[in-house]
Amino acid sequence: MAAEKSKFSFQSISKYMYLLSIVVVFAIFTILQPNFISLYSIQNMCGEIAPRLIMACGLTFVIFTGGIDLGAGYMVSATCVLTGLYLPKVGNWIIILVALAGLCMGTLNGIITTKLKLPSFIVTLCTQNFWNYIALSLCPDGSVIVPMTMRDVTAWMTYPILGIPATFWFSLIGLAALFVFQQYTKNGRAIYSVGANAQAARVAGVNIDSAQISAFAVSGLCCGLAGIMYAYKLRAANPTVGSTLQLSSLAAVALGGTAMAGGFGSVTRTLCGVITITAVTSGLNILSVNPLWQNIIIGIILIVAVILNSDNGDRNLVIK
Amino acid sequence: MNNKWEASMETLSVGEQFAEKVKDNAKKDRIRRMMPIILLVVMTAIGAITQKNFFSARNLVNILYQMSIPLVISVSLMFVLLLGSIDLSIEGVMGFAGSFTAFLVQNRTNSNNFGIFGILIVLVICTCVGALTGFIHTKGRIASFITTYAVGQVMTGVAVLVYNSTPIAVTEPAFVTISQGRLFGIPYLTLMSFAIFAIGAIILNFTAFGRAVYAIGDNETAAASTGINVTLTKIKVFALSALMASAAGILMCIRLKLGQSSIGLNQMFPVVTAIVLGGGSLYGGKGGALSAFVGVLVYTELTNWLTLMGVDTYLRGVIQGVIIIVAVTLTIERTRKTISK
Repeated sequence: MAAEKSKFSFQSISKYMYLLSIVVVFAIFTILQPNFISLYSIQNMCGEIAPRLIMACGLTFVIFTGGIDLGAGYMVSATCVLTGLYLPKVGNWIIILVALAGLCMGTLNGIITTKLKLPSFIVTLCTQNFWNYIALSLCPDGSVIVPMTMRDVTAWMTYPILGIPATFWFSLIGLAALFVFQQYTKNGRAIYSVGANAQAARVAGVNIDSAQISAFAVSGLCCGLAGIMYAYKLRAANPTVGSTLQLSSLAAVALGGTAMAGGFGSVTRTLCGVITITAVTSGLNILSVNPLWQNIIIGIILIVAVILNSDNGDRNLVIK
Repeated sequence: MNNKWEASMETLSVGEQFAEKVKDNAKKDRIRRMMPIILLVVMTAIGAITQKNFFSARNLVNILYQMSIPLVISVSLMFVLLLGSIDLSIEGVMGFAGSFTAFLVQNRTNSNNFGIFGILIVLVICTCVGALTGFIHTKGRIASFITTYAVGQVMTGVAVLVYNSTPIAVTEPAFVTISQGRLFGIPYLTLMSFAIFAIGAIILNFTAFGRAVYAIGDNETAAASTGINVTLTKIKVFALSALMASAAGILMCIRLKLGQSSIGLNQMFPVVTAIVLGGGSLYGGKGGALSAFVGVLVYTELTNWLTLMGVDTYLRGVIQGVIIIVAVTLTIERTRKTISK
């Protein structure tokens, strides 16, 4: 009986965790530092959210299938470097080129995972070295600044609309597009079904391989877009920009309540997760906590969120 | 790798299909067992051809020295991979162990001087962290890669916090003695790591715990039904893994006489490559001490050769990635109906 009860409360917490966590985090930081919800701070936070949101939403699709992408952070670094280095040569067309490059990277992950039938965490653990190599071999001496003459070309991306950088509004448009893809397209539904019950989906006539590949492709595309946003925002090709993003985007997805085993979740939930994680990082900054604490806190958030989300239904399932 | 038994499913009887499948598996097993030895011969031949003094005592000692830290880490991964799990927290734990050891022994930054007790404290803390990881993984029913990934990130954070962004220089005289001392021309560090590996191999092969690890990796449900305490064994494995990772971190700290989180950086992935090269499976139940040893040896020779050919570190990561994908593809057991996620 006691077990029954604890299970119930556990589930109800995890059900509304994504909303609860926002309220709790904002409440804590506002009490500690009233300036936390000032207009300036909110505007600042919105600028921070944009690339993280796009990246985490892309990652959400891979997690829908029950897979994972451990190399997404390095993919952002690689695309950021590509954007920063080739922007002076091709101008704004670079956005399309790099987005395509991201798409290809994601598709490669998807093809290796489905055609060679390897678990995605192994595949992405291996391929992350490829992206890291692209980033670091092109920028061996650290960040490369985009020339001053290109400032006019890049300015539109960070042009403030209602006091918030345009990237934020772009990321919201991206979120809307991903939401439509997730809810109303055949492929989007197929991605869910792979995560929920792959065998059943196959019997029902879903093309599992193409669903998985498209999930990875979307993730790659989103990483590409996030990389572009960072390059435009920093006005530089930064080869290490993504190294901290991997953890925070995974934590954001988990905090949103998307199941790590797949089949359940939504990009709108991820939005809530991203807001919370960004609030935590910027809140710690405002309180001038040593930035070294950030990884520790976000790591703990990830563990707690995943524990709350984990499905304890099937006791016989072997988890490795 | 076409599965013949599958292609002929319509024409063969169930018994024949089964026989085909068994044959197919036996063939894969042979490949898996032969591969490391072939690789060892090939790599040694390449080394002997491209390096003039490959078989000189000095070069052999050098290879043994280079493989010492990976060998200690391989004990961690040997157990964890046999379960079919993975431990991504090794790098974080290593970084923490190194940093915290430097913090506790005689150093330039603070007045701590716990000596050998400092090392013991670090080992105990890291073992507890590993046990906690195992506990979260088994009791929380969360896949090991996500649990260990998060724990690893936390430990890296703690490691950097310990020395507050200025790495601690160690002045402990014992560390200097150990890092420079040699016995019969072989560095103490090498001897220590070989001893640690030997202990790991004995635990794996000659204790009930070690056999239980094999059994769980082979078939967890069957192992549980024979009365093996799966949860406890897994927690022990993760505790042992963290203990070995911390030992590797401490050895690294002794070697560098410097405590910083980056001593764990890029230490785990090469060893996974090595174990896979040695014929270990990432799906559990296959591999062991000998294959880990041969794998690390082959991998060290490979790295040696790549360095000689002027291949840079990041490209080496790419090569490791390709090796793992190819090796896992060759040895994985799957059918047309397998769905990987």
